[in-house]
Amino acid sequence: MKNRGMISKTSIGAIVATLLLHVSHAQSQETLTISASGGSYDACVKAAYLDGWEKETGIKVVVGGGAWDLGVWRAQQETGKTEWDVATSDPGQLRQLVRNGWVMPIDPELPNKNGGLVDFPGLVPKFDGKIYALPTEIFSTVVTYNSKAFKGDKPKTWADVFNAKKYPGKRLFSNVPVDFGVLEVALLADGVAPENLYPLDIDRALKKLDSIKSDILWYDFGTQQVALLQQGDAVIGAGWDGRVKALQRDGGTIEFSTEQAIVKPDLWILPKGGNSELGARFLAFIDNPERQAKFATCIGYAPALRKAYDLLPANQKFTVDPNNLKGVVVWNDEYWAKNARDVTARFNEWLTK
Amino acid sequence: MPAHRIKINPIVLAAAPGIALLLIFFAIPLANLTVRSLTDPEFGLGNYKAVLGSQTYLRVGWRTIWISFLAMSGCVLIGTPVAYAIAHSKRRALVVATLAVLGLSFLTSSLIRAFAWMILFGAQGPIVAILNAAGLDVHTLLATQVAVVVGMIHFLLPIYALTAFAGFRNMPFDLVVAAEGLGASRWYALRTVYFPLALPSIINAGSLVFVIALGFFITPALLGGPSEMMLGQLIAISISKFGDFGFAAAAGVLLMVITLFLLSAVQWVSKAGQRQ
Amino acid sequence: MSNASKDCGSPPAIQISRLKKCYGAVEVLRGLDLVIPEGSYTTFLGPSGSGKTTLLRIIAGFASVSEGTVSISGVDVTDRAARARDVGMVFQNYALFPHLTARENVEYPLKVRRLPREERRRRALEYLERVHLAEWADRYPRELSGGQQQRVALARSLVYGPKLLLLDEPLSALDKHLRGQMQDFLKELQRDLGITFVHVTHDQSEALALSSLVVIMRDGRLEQVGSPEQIYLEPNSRFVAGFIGNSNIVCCSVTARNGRLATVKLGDGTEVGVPIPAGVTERLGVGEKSLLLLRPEKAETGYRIDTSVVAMSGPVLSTTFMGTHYQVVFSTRHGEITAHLNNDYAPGQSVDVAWRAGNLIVLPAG
Repeated sequence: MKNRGMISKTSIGAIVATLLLHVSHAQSQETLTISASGGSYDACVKAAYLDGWEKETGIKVVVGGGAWDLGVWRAQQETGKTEWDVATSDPGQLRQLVRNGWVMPIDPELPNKNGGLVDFPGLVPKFDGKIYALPTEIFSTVVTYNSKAFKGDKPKTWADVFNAKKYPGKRLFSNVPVDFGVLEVALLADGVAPENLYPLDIDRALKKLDSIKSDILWYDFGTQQVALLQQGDAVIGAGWDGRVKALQRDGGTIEFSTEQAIVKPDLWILPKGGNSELGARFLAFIDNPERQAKFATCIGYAPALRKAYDLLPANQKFTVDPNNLKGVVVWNDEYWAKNARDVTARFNEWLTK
Repeated sequence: MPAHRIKINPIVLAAAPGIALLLIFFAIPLANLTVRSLTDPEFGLGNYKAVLGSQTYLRVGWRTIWISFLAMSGCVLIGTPVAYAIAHSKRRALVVATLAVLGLSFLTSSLIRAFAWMILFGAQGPIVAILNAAGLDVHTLLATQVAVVVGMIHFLLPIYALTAFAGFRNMPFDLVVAAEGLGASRWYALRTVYFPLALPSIINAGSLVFVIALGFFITPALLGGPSEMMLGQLIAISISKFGDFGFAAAAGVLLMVITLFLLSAVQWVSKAGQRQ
Repeated sequence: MSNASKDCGSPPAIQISRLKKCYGAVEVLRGLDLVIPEGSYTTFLGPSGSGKTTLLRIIAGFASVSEGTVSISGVDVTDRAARARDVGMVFQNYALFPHLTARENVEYPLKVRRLPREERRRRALEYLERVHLAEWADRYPRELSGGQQQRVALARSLVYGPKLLLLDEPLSALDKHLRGQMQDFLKELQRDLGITFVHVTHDQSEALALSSLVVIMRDGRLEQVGSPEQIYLEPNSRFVAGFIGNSNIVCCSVTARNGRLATVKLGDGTEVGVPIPAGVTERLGVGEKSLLLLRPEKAETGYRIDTSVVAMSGPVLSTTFMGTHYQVVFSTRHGEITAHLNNDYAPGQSVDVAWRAGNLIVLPAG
């Protein structure tokens, strides 16, 4: 999930790997193939889930190519060569996968087991009464800044991010609005209440962005978001809590605010054509408070299971408090699934002007 | 004894595997791409209308051509003397060292090179430090055309220099010697004799890097801003976010058609120049 | 008269002193001293690897010297770049500029010299006229025959009026018929222009036909320098004699010397008095083994045997008709001998031939 917005060589690698795996699937002993997400995410998945899974089931896990690229999905589904038994996804992509019939439904009771999930609307989207994904963690787009850049008050809200007088310097945003929420950020900064955010008022958002357009540094790749802040090319912007924490662990001086976090779950899904039976076993395995807490501690994103929160370390700050969800903004996948194309086109038209 | 035998030209036989490869890996995918652009999601010119009707695509398309042209020009300016030097230098060690440097940098991943430039051009990079020391007030060079073009030249230069070198090596250098014997300075001889004769090699190598540049997206994504956005980036998003194969294919086919048109125009002009 | 003016006053066209050229450890020119007179047609003649082309390139300024000096018209040009020597050069492969027409090629050195357009054009056409190519002025080199390209190259290297023209094996790429025509043309041109031509060749007949001075080179040294007549009649060494014309060589010993005359004795006891070439007088001692040269073209039939001739006889091995004569090879006590005779001989038929003593050449052995 780390590589949203990047069509990388892994896409090609994924296709090649698919072809190879298809052969090996048939002949070797049973294995579970999961999609890769890149970098620290894969390392945390291994530490929190895979090691225990292999020990308990004796079924080896193969980490295949990334599943964030809809083009790769389409290529695999159209050629009937599904690489993964389980894959990671996000709510926006999920809607497209469901619409195309490329994913399998999961046990509708699974999210309610083990104490149930954090109470967000739409955390588990339903389609004709069926569900297709298990959320395991919640990541947030948050006000992110380099703490060395500002002496006095630290920025807290999106309005602060747009306040170039008080917090001078370059603003860092992603140029892919469907992923990173730059339009939501602009509207929140402009005073739109979270409950009135959707449907997005694109004109208002772009107008707000226009007010600081010359101060904006745009990035394409997820890895750039904290790097460019740490490097000092920008001083403030929208980042992800987990990424910021990872950089802090490496001695970075990047900070984030928990206010007005825009949250979005990470999902595990069962691609059509994979070994869904085995995949379902894996989903049941990771729907577990201890394992999710371990994963959350490692990656820095908040867990999806309520019970996991009791097991988190006290010294780590998470954007989600399951007992107080006021002020949290939930990314609306339904809106985006419907409007992503048009909004992206309008945004690009504005961006490249 | 058979009454007659089918005679196969040995050259055709030798070229057959190459032609087959070209067919499998280029002609068929290209045909596929074109068919997609006309049929996905439905039959018709809808995708082309969508691309040509998009201000964004037109704007970014011309920008792509312009930035590619700048990168190619940089390669020609920097790479031509390098190719000339390694084609005609008598110092073997120097030639081998230059070829090794070009070859090695060519083998380094474009992603790694773009990230390296991201740091070099960044706010804490040495280039900004030097510019500020020189009294210029520069915060960062990221998201500038300079950064993108330099990053692209860095990637393309080995390709240009090695391609031009292959052509220059076969240049009749004795003509330069002859021109000097007729009273010309080395520079005048190069300008009036070597350069006009080397022009086809320069055009070939330049066209090659221009075409490669058109497809760039990692370098402009990491080093450029919206003003340097290239078509590859837009096409990438339409595939990875929306799975719009037909739309992306139409954009790709249009870019290819424009490229072919530009290249044949260049070839035609250079041929006409030679005839004249 | 022209000789007199050369001797007093005006410096030689080229003067080379103690010239050495090394490529790494290989010495390709080993200390040359040479004077080429103004207005001469000089040829450098030698086998490949003798250093003749290197010497020419050094004079042109395309190669540097390792030691020694080169002067052109009395000016030391050793360290001067080619373009500052004002020397014309015709390359073996002509080195015409393929992207320029014949006229533009000829104009090139004038353009370098910044002559006005009209002047350039006029002079280029004048020189193309001179080489009989006026109507081909707008053709590109690839549209011209080898001989025509050759003449364009000539016009191009003469149009700016150099005092010295260097030609590097200019005729080697032409067929035999064309070569003869071009030889006449070059000779005439040189006479008309009155400038010095230095012409490198490995063809001895070309050297004899063209030059007023022949420089014979061997292994990076000058073997002999002289007029074609001197080279032909009084070779310094077996190498020169063998290189110029086909010669029969017979062993002999010197029994007596009297000034420029030596008495030699052949293996069959024949004794004859022969002239000693100027270049070998000091190297020819009485009693020493020597060589006697018999030029095939000097052979005669119908002679009287006396002390003024050397006679050879034996059965004919082969006869070849050469147009002006028959080349007859026959077997003798001295080995196979070749003679140019006026009559046809059948193989096996006996032949008697003699050389007048005055036409013989004696050289030291080895």
